[in-house]
Amino acid sequence: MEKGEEEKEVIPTGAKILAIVMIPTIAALNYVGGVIVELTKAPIWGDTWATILGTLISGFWVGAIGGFLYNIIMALTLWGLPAWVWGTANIVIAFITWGCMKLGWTDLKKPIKLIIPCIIFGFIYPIYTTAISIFIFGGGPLYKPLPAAVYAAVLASTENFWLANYVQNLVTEIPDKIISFIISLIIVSRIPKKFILVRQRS
Amino acid sequence: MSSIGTSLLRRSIIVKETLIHKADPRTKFLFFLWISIWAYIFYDYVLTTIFLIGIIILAIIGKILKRILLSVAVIVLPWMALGVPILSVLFPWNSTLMYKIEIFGWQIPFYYEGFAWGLTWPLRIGVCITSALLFYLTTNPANLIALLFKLKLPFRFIYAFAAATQLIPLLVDEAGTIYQAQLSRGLRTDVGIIKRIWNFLILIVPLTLSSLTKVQIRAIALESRGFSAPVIKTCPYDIRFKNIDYVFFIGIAIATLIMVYVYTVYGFSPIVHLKQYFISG
Repeated sequence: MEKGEEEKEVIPTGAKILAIVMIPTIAALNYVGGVIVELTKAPIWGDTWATILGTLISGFWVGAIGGFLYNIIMALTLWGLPAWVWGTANIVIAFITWGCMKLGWTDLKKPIKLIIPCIIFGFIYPIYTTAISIFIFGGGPLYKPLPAAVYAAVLASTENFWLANYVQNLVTEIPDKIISFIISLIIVSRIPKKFILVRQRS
Repeated sequence: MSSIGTSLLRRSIIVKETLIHKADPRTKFLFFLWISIWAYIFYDYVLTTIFLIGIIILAIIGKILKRILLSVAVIVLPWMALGVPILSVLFPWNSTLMYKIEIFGWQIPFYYEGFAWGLTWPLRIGVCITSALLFYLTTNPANLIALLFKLKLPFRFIYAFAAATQLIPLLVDEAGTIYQAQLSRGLRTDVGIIKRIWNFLILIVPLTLSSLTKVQIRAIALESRGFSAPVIKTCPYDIRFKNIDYVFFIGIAIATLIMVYVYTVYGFSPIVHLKQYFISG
């Protein structure tokens, strides 16, 4: 080392660098989830399961940022600017998952405890997505035939625009989020422990 | 997500020597933000259609018309095809009768308010999607990273963004390989709903495990290049404004003045004169 040069100590960051690398992986896995749904014709959206997975294995921030990043990429490419708002929905999903994890409601061996997360994902979370679909996307029917039919039926029978949107969202979110949650729990149970960066409740 | 969506992100940028490709990514990004915001400010399907036509003209100049039209055909048109008839009949704020159709002896009335709502919102989203594609499909990934540097975003976010856009096509290919492998092992696709969910799971599990293994390799590779080193990070690419960018800026400035004038004098629905509803924002 030459005179005058300052020596800097570089400390490998271990878990921190793994968490940073996890973020784009989660974003990409969310995207590929959508592609696999296309291949398998599964009755879900399939593009938020990696947010749940990321939160379960790397904590709230990694899951939330990974999910948000996915929506930012989609907003800048295929979905258009307003779609970035769905990124906040991914943060909500990460928050619900993190809360359930902290409360010990993510144990596949205790299925009774999974009921509350399923209710939160199935019925409470759609309130948030309903608000987004109305204020940002106009609250019309979805382009999928079944939710659109449910939307038309509820609107015809109640004339309540909000309720029609909420019920339409229930039709899509109940299967999607519950299946995504359970699938993520199954995957986490099969992942080698070295990848789990977050402290699990014992 | 539609298959067109998949193919668009997989193929990424279309390399051509057009004026749109030569423009600075900041200019195209500004245009994308600018026109998306205007699409939301006005609630007028004729004006929104004019915005869409403007973007299509730019897509012709940029030689990406086919991709833009495909995205409109796959995302906007089906949405409109469902939204227009349903809302024309059932929209709660319907009041202006356009015509009645007789189906199986039933007189079904179609109203203007719902028709306009079902038409305007998909068009708005159409403007946002096509302008985003115009930016994305004509911007080199290296220039995109340079743009994020110029915007002074955190280095770790830039890495995450760049890595995610690189990872997506790789993982899509890998998912294809796993799918083919499972097909050759007898995976059936013509099955019921429960089995389809199971198929989703058996494709996702190997993909996730493989991705997580690569996370460690990527982390080691990053550290070996001093990713966590406490030094100022620099970008090897530089972007500069050219004459075409200044022409764009002048065009945007003139159009902004015109639209501010139109909004101030004629309101948010200057051509078709729609009403503002409680939820319309």
